[in-house]
Amino acid sequence: VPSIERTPRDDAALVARLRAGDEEAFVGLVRQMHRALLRVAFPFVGSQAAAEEIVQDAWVAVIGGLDEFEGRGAIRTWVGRIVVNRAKTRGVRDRRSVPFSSLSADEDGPVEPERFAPTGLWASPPSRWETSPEELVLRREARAQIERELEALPPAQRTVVTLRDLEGWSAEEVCNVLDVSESNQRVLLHRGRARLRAALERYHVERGR
Amino acid sequence: MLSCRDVTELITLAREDALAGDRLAAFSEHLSLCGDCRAYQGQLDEAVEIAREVPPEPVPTEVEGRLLAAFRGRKA
Repeated sequence: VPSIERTPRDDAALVARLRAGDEEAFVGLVRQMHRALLRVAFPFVGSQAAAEEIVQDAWVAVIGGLDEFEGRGAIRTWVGRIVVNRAKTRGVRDRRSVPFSSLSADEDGPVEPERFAPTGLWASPPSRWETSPEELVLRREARAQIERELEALPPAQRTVVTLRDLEGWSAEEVCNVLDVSESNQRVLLHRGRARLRAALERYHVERGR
Repeated sequence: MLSCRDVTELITLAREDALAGDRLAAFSEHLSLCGDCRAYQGQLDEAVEIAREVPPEPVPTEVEGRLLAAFRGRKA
């Protein structure tokens, strides 16, 4: 279950365990945040290898800063911000453009425009399919299709969808960590989710042939 | 009157509880009358639900080892 609700009290207890040198708590946190942090770093640095490096360096900084962590806000926001700051510095050094500052025009709207008539009504409505979650093979195939589409999303969309939908972060946490406006966050989520739906539709259409 | 295209644009706003007043009313009315848009919304929800099941990536063993060593170093 990806959506783990963390309360300030959980976080205070966790920080206390980390400060006391609790290795299990530390490894647990590293594992729990791994995918999220890689996705946070990726759009700034543009490569998986660089993202992995940033995340490792960030953990070392987290270890060194445990005593300074003031406990304002959640621990994952704190760790996420450290990753973003490092990834930004690296991105500037490599002269990469800042990925979340503006939404690039090459990112399409959610539904292909040709599926609507000029009136805005559906010209080519969504294909329908029977959902049967009990059919495990189909479910696995559909999941593999969604996974491939996630990999193919523009990096900023992939990051927001991963944090919100796979990792269960709140909109507020995503905005705070990535330093994006609420509306940008929502647009990225909207476009990313729409592409996942389209991928699922393609899967069912191809299966039905 | 909202078009189907408008409704597909507003779905995430609605899911994020960021639609209110007349716009929310118009959105809900359209959905109640339009099976295609209801199907679209249901499929979006289904895609998100499936995405939730994508398993997390494991931390490479050597990375975990390095980080744990750094963590132990702090204690010393």
